[in-house]
Amino acid sequence: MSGGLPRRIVKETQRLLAEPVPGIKATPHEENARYFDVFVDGPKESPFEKGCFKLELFLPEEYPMSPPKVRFNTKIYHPNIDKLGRICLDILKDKWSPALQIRTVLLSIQALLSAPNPDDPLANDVAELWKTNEAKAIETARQWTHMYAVNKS
Amino acid sequence: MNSQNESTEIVDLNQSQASQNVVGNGNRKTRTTKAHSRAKRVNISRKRNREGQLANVGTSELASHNGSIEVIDVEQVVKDKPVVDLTDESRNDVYVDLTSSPDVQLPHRQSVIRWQLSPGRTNTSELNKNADDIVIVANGSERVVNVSSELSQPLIENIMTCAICMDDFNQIKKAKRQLTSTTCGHVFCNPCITSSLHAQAKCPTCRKRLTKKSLHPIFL
Repeated sequence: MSGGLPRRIVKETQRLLAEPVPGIKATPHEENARYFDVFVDGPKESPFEKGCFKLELFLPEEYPMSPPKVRFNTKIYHPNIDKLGRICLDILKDKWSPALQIRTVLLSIQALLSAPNPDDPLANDVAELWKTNEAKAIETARQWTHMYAVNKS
Repeated sequence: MNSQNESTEIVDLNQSQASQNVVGNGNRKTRTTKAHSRAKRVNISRKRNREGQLANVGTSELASHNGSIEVIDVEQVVKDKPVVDLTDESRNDVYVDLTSSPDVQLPHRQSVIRWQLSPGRTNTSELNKNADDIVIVANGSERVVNVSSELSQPLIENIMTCAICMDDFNQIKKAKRQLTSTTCGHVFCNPCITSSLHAQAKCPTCRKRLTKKSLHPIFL
């Protein structure tokens, strides 16, 4: 850990490693303790099931007064996640609260995979298909999960 | 009362209703003719006095219509129906002194916490009681408190953490940071909630709208 790291970040990191959330793994970079590699398992009974999605999470200087920056590195077919992996989630923007933590943010992202919200879209084409032909959209999401998120090795 | 009233005859109770009307008329007249500006703040005795004088004026007016003179003891009427001056501010004698309340809860609560923290104060001379019991003698009556049952509930020191810096109660105390509560009842350490309110004017825990004035220190 770097010397100037706020105690809250140290505590959060320790707890994440000591009591990990099921289906979520977050490990800090050695050279930058504000930068985390995150792996989120696709929730059961969702088109993302069996997938393991890699995300990156960065704690800005103002954290916890401002939200962490989170982005999907794995391609995903989801109405609230765009091509670049950016996530449309209120708690990462205006609904952020300093009482939220890395843990709760990642849980919210996992919940977003279970409950896509095409009425508040980020990827417009995906949201459109999700609303007009949900079965086809779910099938596409399942295919993308299999293509990009399932560890074949 | 003046001598004029003392010499008057006492009217019987059936007439007191009528006499009251006379007093009423007379009273209204004074207000318009005489002391209009003073009317609001007269005390009872002065009012009685004026009513006494004016009742006579009123009756003499009436007498000229009826042809007979009635003399009314206004004092008697006033005794039957006491006049309460609701506009008199000097009658504000009901007030509560909040600083002298004997039932202030804080010392009691502090002492309870001390009992929880020092079970060594068990009264050992009471052999028929459990070792976990403390005998409290207050106001001559005995009360037995079971320490183990009180200790089984988590103490505030063990469950309280600041949701922003994640420090617990003891760490906050050690660093001499002031525990602060919001008006919505959520507790943080003062530097954390202050800088949080700079970032957004909402409670970090429940998102209720807050200003700096919505914070107050708490002492545990």
